[in-house]
Amino acid sequence: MWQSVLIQRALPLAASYALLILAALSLDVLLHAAHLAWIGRYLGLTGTVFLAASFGYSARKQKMIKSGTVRLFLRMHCNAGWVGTLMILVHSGIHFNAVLPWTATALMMVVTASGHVGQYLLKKVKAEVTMKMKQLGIEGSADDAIEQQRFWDSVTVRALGRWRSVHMPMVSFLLSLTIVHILSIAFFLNWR
Amino acid sequence: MKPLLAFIASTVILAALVLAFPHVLLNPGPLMQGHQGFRKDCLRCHKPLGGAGALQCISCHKPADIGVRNVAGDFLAVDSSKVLFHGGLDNASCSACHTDHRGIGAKKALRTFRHESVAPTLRRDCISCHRNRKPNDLLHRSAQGNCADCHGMKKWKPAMFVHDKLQADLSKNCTACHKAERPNDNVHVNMTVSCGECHGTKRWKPATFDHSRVSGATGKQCISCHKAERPNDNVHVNMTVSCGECHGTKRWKPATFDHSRFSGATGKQCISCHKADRPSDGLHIGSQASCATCHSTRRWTPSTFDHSRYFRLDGDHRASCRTCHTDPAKYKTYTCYNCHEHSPASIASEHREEGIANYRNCVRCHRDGSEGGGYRERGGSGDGDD
Repeated sequence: MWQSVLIQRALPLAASYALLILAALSLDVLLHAAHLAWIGRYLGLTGTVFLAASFGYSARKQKMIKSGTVRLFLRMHCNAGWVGTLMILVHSGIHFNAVLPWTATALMMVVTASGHVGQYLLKKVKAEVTMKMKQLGIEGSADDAIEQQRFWDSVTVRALGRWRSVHMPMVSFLLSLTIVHILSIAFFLNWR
Repeated sequence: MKPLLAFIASTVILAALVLAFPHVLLNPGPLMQGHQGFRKDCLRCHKPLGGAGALQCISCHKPADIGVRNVAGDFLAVDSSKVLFHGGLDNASCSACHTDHRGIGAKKALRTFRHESVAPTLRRDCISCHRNRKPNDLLHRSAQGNCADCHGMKKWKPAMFVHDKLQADLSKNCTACHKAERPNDNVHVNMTVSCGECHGTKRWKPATFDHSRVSGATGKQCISCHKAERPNDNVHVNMTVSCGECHGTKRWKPATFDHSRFSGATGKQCISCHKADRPSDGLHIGSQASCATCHSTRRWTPSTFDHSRYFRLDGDHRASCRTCHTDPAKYKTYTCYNCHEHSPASIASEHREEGIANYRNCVRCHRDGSEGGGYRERGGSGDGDD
């Protein structure tokens, strides 16, 4: 049973998502118990920086960043996204109940879940490509092949195309909610 | 480009919605009852990039009018239980105590009260606001002065109790408040003086116990209070005199032990108490004599051992112990043959000339080093021991 594809690929990703929620709840409880809930306000800023850093992956794919392996940027995208989401979740726990930021938080969790699904699909594609390469007698790993632009395009378009068509609009809307939230806070903040 | 278009479109739509319905999308919680009238008008209280400042508050709520008139200018019913403290406050300090968006009830929007903001004269008069909260116990009925002399402004406890604030008659009557804390032991049960004679007002210990306060027979019977402290050794178990004969009332040590108090056989048997103190060298191990033969009861050293009783160490005989006592384990044995003067052959020759056959125990006849110091004893059986 432990050798099954579902367990090997889906379980770690499901655990990562569950851990994210658990870590956020634990941190929130700890900060409140220590009367340090005010730190949550600033975690909104740092979390946003992490989420912004995760866009480096898109920039690398769009060739706005020229150097670095796509695989490295993908790992950064996943890790920075996870940490950023954790910080924003703790930030959400400081009991402000406006509709807009809570919508942004809910959508952020959906986008993070979608990102985990994307990771699952990518692993699946890599496994299939490796198998086909073996059948065709081609040496090397799928990771190396992914470095090739032609191969990456085919993977993106054919295998992950449908997923991206859902993931990217959600990311765009999350970005809009985040920017409007930040601007509204800045508008009502006392800067003096 | 599609995600970029989606982002721009959604941002524009969202911004329009926020501008049209800020009270729906940005409102972090319901306003209090009095502010419901402008719940759609965020800028009534919030200044763009300036926050919710006190200027907006006092445009409606004049500090001097709070508690006197409402915002419409109508006078309020006089309530003598309320203190009008807002008039003396800093005009910019509204948000230090008040907020909003916490629900309809105005009390939900109160922050922790900052006494520091209140005018100094009013701040010193705690009771003017807290008149119904003063505890009605003996302590507080008797206490004089301001609450803040003992209590902090943030919490009632812990309090810094100052006994000096009590009225004179109560300040000497400790048990009026501390009745339950009085120890139920011999010392305290029979005590008739005030606790303050021995104990301070800040801590129970250390206490300055004056034994002279313990009257009559009890004063001599230390053991009636200090039973558990009596040492269980030979010295103390057999002791029949009062502890005070040897020990002071301030400290157990140093003690002034008088050996003459030991009566009969026990007094002579030093070792029955000082067994552990006995030196383990040859001189002391082999000795059967009482310690007092050489040592006094006041000090161990210097000892009163008199070597002259056996042989006077004068002239050429002021030598170290080991010159004669070659075996440190047996100080009772000695030899005179370690000097060139006293060779076995010459000694034998000299004594035979005198007709002395038994000359092995030199000090039997020679009590010092002089030529004529010996006296003849025929038929003796000296063997070099004494």
